[in-house]
Amino acid sequence: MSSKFHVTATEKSGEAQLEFAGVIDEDVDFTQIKLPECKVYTFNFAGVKGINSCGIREWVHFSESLPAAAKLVYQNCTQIIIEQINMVAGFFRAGSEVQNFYAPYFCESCDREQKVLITAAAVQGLAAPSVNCPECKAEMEFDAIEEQYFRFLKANA
Amino acid sequence: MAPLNKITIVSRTPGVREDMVACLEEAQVSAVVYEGEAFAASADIVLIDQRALPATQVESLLAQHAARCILLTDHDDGENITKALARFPLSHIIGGNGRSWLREFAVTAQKMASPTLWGLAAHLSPAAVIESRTVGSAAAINATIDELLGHVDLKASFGAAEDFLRQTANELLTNAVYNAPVDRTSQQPKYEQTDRKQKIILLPSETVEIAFGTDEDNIGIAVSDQFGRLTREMIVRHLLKCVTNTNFIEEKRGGAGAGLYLAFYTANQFVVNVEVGKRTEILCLLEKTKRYRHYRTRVTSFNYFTQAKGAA
Ligand SMILES: [Zn+2]
Repeated sequence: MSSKFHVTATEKSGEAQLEFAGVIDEDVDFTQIKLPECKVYTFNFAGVKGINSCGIREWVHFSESLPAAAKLVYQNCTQIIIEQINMVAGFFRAGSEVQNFYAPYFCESCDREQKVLITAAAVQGLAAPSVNCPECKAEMEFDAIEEQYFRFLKANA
Repeated sequence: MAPLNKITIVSRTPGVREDMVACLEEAQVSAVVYEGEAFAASADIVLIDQRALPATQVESLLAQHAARCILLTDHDDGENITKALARFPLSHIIGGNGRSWLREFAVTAQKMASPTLWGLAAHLSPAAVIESRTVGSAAAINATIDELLGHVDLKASFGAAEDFLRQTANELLTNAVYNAPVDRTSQQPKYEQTDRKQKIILLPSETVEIAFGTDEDNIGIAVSDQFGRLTREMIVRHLLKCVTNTNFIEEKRGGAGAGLYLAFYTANQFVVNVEVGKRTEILCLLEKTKRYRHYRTRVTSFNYFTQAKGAA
């Protein structure tokens, strides 16, 4: 599968929706995205396969270039995006909110990992929500360190 | 045949000496193994098993012998950078909760005695499958990574491993292409400040090698340049900057100043081989595990090996 970056941008009633796919790197030119000024920007990261340090810098510049009063909503964040949000200051601008994100779960009896899309609201007091295995229906284990993986929730707008 | 190592083990973990002797024998590393701090002054290698030793004893050993030490530790990466690497001239840390730390120890001891062992093969089992490519331009970086990743069996790894491997390979290649080359006469960097959107083409004497390799326990990436300029101090300074300040993305010309740290952060074993002035090779290995929690809690091993130019 190619890692070339694609973005699909739409706008409706002052709300922008941006869908990303591929790798966010130095070649990503967010200035090419032409949108009117919006109150809400929703980013869908489901198709993002990777990011590098120059891509992180491009992202920080892009998010800072959006109106200061705008709300930035992150959807379908993959694990690598959650890691960057947790690790790099500025990746998650003030006024940003992760709405939902992928989290690793593991079913011992099936010996299988499952990436589960969970909402930020479902994480209560840094406890991962309970999720059952789609195969055997047993409860799966959350397969990351809660304090580490959910660190970004402290900054969630 | 590699020269005989005199190794002393300072540990309170029961049975650790016996395990190490067995592992060294299995790896055919020639060594005579002592136990206890009393032998530290005369040993070639001092293995400090931090997992059960008082902090004061570890500090005292590092203060006296750091350059000859291997620190076996279960402390987290941030502590290993700030309290060990940044304070002592230590070049070898092994993650004490790694699945194959004994083998790592044997390889490290072997390479400390003969730092001419290059490539992924030294860190993987003899049955490892290794694919390598030459990269001659910045434009070829992503396509080469995609192509090589297609050869890697990820069935035994957690789902996001592919994304992390891609990120690591990209950072290592980008550094090797833009940061490593210097003008051979002036020794001034040639492309370091070049905008990364500008896709430079390397001279044949500047090309970069990348390899992906897998065995039953690990997936490894190796990237090497033809310059050999990366020092232990440069790496430690960089890691320290990133681990002590989350605002580490730089606004300077050229790269974002975070590539090595992202590679270290992603790796379970981070190994640097340098032949001064001739080549630098960085290896990042990830344990094969379906458990993301295990991957994230695995203490990252750090190894820096150097040899003088032409010593091979
Ligand atoms: Zn199951």
